[in-house]
Amino acid sequence: MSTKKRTFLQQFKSQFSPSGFQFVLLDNQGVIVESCNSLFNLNLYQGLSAFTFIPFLESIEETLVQITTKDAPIYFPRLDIPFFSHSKIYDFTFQRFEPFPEHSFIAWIIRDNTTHYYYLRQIQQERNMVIVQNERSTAGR
Amino acid sequence: MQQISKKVILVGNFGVGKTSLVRRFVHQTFSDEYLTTLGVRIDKKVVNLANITVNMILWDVAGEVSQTKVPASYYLGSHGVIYVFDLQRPSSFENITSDIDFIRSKLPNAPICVIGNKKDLLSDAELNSIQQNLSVKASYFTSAKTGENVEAMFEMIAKQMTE
Repeated sequence: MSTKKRTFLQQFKSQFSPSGFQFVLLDNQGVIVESCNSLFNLNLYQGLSAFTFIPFLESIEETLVQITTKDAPIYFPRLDIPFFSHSKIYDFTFQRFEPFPEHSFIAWIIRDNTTHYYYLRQIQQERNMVIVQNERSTAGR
Repeated sequence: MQQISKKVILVGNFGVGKTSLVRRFVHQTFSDEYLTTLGVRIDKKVVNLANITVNMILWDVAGEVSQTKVPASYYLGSHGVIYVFDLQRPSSFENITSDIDFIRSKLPNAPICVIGNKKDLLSDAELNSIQQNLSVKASYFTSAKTGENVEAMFEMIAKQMTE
């Protein structure tokens, strides 16, 4: 497919490895303009403002709408949130994508890192429990 | 009635009961089982104040020994902060002054609510002793287990964020 025939999202997505990723374009009102639906299908929500039905996005709306093309991407690691009925752990990245001056989007990159993070959580759980138990036994002496 | 959304982050050492406070407030449940939080969990509750409805979006951030280790992006756009420590574990409040200073540097205008949790495990005498030796004034002593002061604490920060 030639670059000319690609949609804006396809142009943006072509810069990344697509494995385990979903790419979404939002306008400045949070409306889902386009989604590649690799991880979950957002077709039902196209045309709706994601700021109104995704609490995570609602809470950082003020930050997202202010991102410019000059800003570094904003990275939110290890988001343990029930998301469209999927209970997984994601990393989100947001950046401004402006293929043309009259087309400016908030690009939302979702990465499913569940397997890796479940392993880390298990290690963290064991570490934290040992530390807390040691503190309690020391305090009890 | 006017409706606004406010982002509140819960921070503090691990195992102090941040997740339990959110569960008590949002879902009215409690479990003694400790399950570590990895990264951040998001929950939402609508709080009706006298003249305004606040959509409180709660970011329950994984506990860290020092708040400098919390990813900087988690603080972005926060309207309020709840700093939680465990009344039974001195290590969870020994860095409280530097932690609050750090949070204040990140969010100079956000109200910060300091909470001593697990009140149900202490006697009044023990509580008084801790209170007197704290380097920062605690806004509330709570118990996620019994629910004591949990609603009041979240309502207080909701009010502070709308002032």
